[in-house]
Amino acid sequence: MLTEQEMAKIRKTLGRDGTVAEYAVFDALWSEHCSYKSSKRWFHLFNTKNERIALGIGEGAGLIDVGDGLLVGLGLESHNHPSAVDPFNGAATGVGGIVRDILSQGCKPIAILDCLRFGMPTSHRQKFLLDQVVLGISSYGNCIGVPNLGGDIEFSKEFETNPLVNAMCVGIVEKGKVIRSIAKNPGDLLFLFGSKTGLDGIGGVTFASEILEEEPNSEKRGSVQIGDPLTEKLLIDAVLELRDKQLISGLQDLGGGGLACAAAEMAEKGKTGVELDLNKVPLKVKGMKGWEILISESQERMLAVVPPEHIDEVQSVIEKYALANAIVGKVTDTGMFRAWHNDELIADIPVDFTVNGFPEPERTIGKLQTRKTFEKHVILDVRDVLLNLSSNPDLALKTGVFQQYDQHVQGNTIVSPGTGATSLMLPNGKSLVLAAGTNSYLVGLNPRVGTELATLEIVRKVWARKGEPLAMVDSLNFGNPEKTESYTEFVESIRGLGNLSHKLDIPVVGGNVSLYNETDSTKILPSPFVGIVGLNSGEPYRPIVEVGDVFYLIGSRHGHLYGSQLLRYYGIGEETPPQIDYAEEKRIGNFLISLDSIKSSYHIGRGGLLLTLSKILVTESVGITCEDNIDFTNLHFSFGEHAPRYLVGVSENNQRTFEKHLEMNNIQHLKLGVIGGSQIKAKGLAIQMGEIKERLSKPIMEALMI
Amino acid sequence: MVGASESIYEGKVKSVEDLGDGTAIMHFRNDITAGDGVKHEMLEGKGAINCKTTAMIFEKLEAAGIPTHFIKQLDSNKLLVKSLKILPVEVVVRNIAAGSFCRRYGVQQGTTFDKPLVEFFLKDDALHDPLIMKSTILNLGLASKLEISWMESFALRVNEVLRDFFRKAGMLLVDFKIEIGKDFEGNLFVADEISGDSMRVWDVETLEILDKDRFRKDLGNVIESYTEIYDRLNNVVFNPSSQPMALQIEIMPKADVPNPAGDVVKRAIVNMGLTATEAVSVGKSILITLTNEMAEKNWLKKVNEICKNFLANPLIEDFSIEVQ
Amino acid sequence: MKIGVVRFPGTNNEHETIRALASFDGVTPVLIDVWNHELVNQVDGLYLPGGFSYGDFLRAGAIAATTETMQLIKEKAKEGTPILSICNGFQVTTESSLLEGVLLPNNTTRFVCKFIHLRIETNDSYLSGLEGQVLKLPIAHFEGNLWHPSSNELEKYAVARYSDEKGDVLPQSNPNGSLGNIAGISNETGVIVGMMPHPERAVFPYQGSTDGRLIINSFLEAVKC
Repeated sequence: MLTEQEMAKIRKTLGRDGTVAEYAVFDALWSEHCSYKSSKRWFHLFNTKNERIALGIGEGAGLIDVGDGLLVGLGLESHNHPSAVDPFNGAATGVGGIVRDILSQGCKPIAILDCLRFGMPTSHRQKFLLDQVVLGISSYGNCIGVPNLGGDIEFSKEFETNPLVNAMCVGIVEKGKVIRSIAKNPGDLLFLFGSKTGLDGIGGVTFASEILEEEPNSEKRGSVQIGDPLTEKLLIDAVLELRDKQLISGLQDLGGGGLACAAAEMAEKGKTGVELDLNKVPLKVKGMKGWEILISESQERMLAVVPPEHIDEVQSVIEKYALANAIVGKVTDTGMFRAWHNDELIADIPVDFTVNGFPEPERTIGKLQTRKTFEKHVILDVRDVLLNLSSNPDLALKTGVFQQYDQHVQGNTIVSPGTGATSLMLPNGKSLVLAAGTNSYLVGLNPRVGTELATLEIVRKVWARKGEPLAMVDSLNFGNPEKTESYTEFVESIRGLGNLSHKLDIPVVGGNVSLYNETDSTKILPSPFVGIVGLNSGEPYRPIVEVGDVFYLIGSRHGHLYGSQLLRYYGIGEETPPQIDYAEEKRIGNFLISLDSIKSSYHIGRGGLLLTLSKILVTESVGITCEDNIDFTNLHFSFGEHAPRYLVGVSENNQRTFEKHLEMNNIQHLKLGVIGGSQIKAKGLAIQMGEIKERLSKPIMEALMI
Repeated sequence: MVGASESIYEGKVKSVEDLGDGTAIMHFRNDITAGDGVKHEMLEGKGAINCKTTAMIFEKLEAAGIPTHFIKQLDSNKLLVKSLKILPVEVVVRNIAAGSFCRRYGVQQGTTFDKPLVEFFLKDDALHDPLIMKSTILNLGLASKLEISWMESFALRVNEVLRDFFRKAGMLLVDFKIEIGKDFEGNLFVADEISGDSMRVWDVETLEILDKDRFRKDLGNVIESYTEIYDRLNNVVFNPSSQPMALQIEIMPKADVPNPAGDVVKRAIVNMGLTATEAVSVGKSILITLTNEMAEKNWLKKVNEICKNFLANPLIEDFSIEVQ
Repeated sequence: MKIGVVRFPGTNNEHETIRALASFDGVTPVLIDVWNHELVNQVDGLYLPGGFSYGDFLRAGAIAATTETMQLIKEKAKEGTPILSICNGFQVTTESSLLEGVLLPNNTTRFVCKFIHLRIETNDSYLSGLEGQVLKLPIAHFEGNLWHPSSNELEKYAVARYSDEKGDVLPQSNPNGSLGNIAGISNETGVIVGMMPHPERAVFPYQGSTDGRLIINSFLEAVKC
């Protein structure tokens, strides 16, 4: 809903009252979702440029140069509110939306990742949400033929009424074939194609920027879009053909704010105007009103800017794929956004004002309280801790979820989701390393440092798989920005992310903001999802674990218990965050990338060394016999997190060379043991892998059984 | 002409001669009967008036997209029609309570129903054409589920068209009877006649009876009334439009085919407290809306084939079709 | 040798299939779309890859089976042109009655994507040369539960079964509930083979297995004959 301040500004600028259609357009474009009115002012804190960045923040996809004339496109977006109301369709269309975002730049989609948050998966409602969201992602992503390569899933009671569904898409495009979301030549035609326009998703952006009611309201279903993956697949094929034939001069997905937003934003970038004839728009239902056609968020639609001499050929390509299409308007030099319906001019507003004219709302920043005091439990036994932490759904194996996604379609997948970052082959012989997620619990403890530590963990995942981190996209999921506490969390988090992006020189090339994830009684744990793409310029790397391999801990000997799972469940550990040594992180990361004699490598993440080791061994169906000096009773050693620590496996006859290499590079290391057997065997600890496997598998398996 | 005589069927008031080429001649005689033939007279001109009334009404039904057996009028007493196998049940549609309905249920004659009623009667003079239930029709194998739904749906369509037509001509259509015939491909048509003999018609103002009740109740002027019905209808301009129609197709897994979806739903249903659930079968339902253009007459056969060859996989699924 | 890769609207495994085929000497993959399906008559063999043809609305493969393209392919099949149909392609061939049986939804009622092992059976198809071998291939499907009212009809034509890595056919190695763990079957003459696992996704070392080459190679040998 437009605020009084916004209404006043519209009246003053236009010198008259707006029409219904105009207010609908302003309402959509000035929503937080489209305008970033609460957030844009902080984006200067991000590192957004380096020599590799071909296209930064501002369009559907950020583009990164990976050499050989190839660009990688990235996008990440939230679809939280629709997923709360209709988890299946909400999640499915979330995937569809981000795929079309990167398609807008001419990228062929090659991977999807998703970051999901739910309440604890023990109640019927939360199990249902998990099941339906996974089903929605699976049915849509599998059908359009884009592999799902991971992301993260966490559970916490703060997400009970506000589940989070964020989807990331990665694509590739040749340098000369990039399409921009811009309308710069007056006289070019506006060509709408894909699905027909219907009443689904009317007012979707406004809805996303409202505080979700306590109980999901089925009447809001009108605001949820229904996905059609078959049309999306045809849309992908059609756009790639248009791209290869170089027939269009601009392209944008119809997402939040629909036709109005796509047309206005492209005109704004091209400093032109647009005229739309809404009677030309192919409709699903008869009798739609002009303003409804303007802001409908029906899925699987794109708006192309086409030079008149190419229009016939464009049309014949689209017809071949049996997609609905029409010339709905043209680019003008008036600087005005004009829309006609039934021979009536229903919107006549300046483009620049429509896109950028919103009055910046006042937001207040305060000082965050340290909210957590921890109740300390007595720890009895390392073995008990390991088994208890394994039973937590956050740490548990997500196999049951990932198996529902097609991980191999397109045939480029090198590493599937499971333990750490995934990777995939590029047509130029190099490979991409992908990871996405955050640590909501940690960010909740300290939004600024928590965001840095959580993002650093994603970077470590990429390093561990020999990826040189190139760029990132973010999706910032927070509470109501009109409340000081939530807004402060948001700003603090941006400060943290901004610092990391500079310190590690990983530019932010795109992003999304999802605020208002708050009801009267609860707000979500702040969740600044980050997706990072790394480049492996060497041989494709695929970790292999075999009996007889020697496992090393490299990097810091100990981790920190601040923000660790141990602190979360047992209340044991420091209550202030550790200092981050970015230089040391980078040094170890680069060392990992340079290694070529190793068989496997993993970052040490959630639950520390012992949990990470257990998950690897369970996944590979092997055990380990540890060296005599390994003492798992040291909690910082076994369960410490948030430090530059990795597990590396080498073959037995490579041990000496590897150790020498480590010493030469002055990398701290510790030989853990030799792979084999069916248990973790160490001084004072012996536990069967079967027992851990059962614990690690159970939470998600049970959650998926409805 | 032995062959010809064998192909002639003599009814109480009409004779039908099958021409052997898929058509037949329906001859309207001057007989008029009531009470299962107990009361019988000959009325001059009766065959002719019923013949042309039927022809006119069937033309209107065809225009409304309702398939009938009518082809053309041959002479004053004869119609050329499709040769059909007549189903052994009659369908009666009632808008206003009258006749046997009032006797059966003790309802006041003249009571208007909120929605038209459809009744089925078994065609059997010896049993005095008793009322028959749909489940009985199905059980006795007199018609299939699809045919029953077709009869019901099309009887109501006929009613909609005729009620408007009669109302325009200043008459109330109280009730009427139709018969349904089937061609060798299984397509269904409204058959027999629709005339003063097969319906109740009252003047909208005076409620004067214009139909065969005049004969049953010895009110006289039978032919004059039948002619009045015809003349009044003939004097109004009435162009019925073709209504779309829907086919509801239900596809269910066969009993011995694994139905994983059913097993999962069963578990959930049991968890939700209906512990007595023994089995759940999950199928699908498809709604086809037809424009009912007249070009598409043999859609019944086509729909059956489409179900068999495409919508259902006969290896694993059964299907049923209903007209809505 | 020209191999037609048939893409119905919604087919989505055409890229890896073309790349896999092109990695064999002397093979030219030809992408065949429904709008240029006359190309069916210009190729030596046909590969029907996976995906979700026509969205798999109604039943997997059912709508593609009604197309004119499929009519042309049936004609070619009659002439003895070798066909390899994978995943959704397999579903299309059963729906078109080129192969026996029907692919029901997985008994888990979930999509399943993972690596499985496959034992090649004694059979009269072009895969007979691989008899007894255990291959590692990925699967990715929702409707892969092969079924027939008479199990003999499938047993007769079985070319591969889901097994463990040693080749033992066990209930726990059955990922979808298929009758007799059968993963793939051939037609009477052995020139049409359909299976759920994806040989075209196990062709290059980085994919984690190259066993798919063996299957594709056997298919190409049949085309050469």
